[in-house]
Amino acid sequence: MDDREILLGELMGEMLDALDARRFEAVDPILERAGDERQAVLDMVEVALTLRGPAQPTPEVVQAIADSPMFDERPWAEILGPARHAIGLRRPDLVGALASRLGIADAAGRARLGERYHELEAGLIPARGAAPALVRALGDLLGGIGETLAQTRHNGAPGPGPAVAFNRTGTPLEALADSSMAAPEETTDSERLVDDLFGV
Amino acid sequence: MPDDAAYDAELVRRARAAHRADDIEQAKRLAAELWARYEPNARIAARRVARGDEIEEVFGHLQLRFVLWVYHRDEEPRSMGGLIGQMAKWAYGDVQRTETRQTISEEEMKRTTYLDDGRDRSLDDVLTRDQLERLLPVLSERERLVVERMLEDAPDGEVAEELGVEPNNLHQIRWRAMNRLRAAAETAESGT
Repeated sequence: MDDREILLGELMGEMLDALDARRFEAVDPILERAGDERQAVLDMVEVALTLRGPAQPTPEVVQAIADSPMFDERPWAEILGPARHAIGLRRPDLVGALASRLGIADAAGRARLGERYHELEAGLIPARGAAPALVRALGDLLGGIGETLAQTRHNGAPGPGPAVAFNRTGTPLEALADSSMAAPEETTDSERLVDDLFGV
Repeated sequence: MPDDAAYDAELVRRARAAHRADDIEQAKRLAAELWARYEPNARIAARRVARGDEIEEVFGHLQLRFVLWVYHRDEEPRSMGGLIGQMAKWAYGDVQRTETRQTISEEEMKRTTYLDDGRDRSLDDVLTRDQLERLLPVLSERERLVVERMLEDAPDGEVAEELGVEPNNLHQIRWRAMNRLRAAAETAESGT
């Protein structure tokens, strides 16, 4: 008896059972048992799925997926503020907690973090550049919405949110710049780290 | 389901129409049904292109590409299984780009042309149920019975008893049958 074939046939059967029952968390442990034959098991499961045709989901499963973050079309500018307000968290407190989570210790870095977060919440910078560490930290601090944030970070921004002051006069922005303004100071390491986290 | 491809195409048409009419709840339900039909394929496809921590990232991008494709493209699906496989490969590319800080935009994703019609094909992208069913005669009678009972979701114990074999033997027969089927499909594809 070929032990390898027995094991792989068993794993294939287990994998199909797990997929049928939507026990997707069981898939990787089954694959781990396949060791170097991982790809072979995936190949065979794929062939089996093709032969069997598509799954026949129940209305409950369909509704649960429709209600999941996968189909959430809101941009972050419509998610972050309401999520923060829902748990009664002031923006400075959130920024402080974020700084601790992300290891931003100095004042310059924390100030940059506050600016960038404001821009993100206002829809001034795209969410798609947010680093995974930032997505995870925000998700945890805003009441466990990490999956929603991860799934929606490519959603188009609606344009600047209400927190932004508009240039209503139409004067070219260059003309509004203060020419006597001193040259910007050199960016610190922590400020660069913050910019990287926000994909700026 | 008598004609899966026609049913899938109808779901896509109705989801797009609902989305255009701003009936978002209906659009979500229709697109979710299509996704649920192929989610097992998507789970496997993500694991074919990625490993470890990257799997969930790739899967997330695959979901996003699926939603954008359903809502914003015009073409009908020819083979949803093939389309999902193509999307998984693009999703893997998205993750690689994100890691090098060259994040892909939603517009770029919407513009992607997926080759689910057999061009640029690998076996996994083009195997259809019909093609595979036509290959069933390459199996021995016992192998064919095992595959047919697998497709009916019959419990292993019951099938083993029918065949008068131990469960271990059943696993072995099933593995050999699927291997033979895949090899026959590859041969048919290459025309040799």
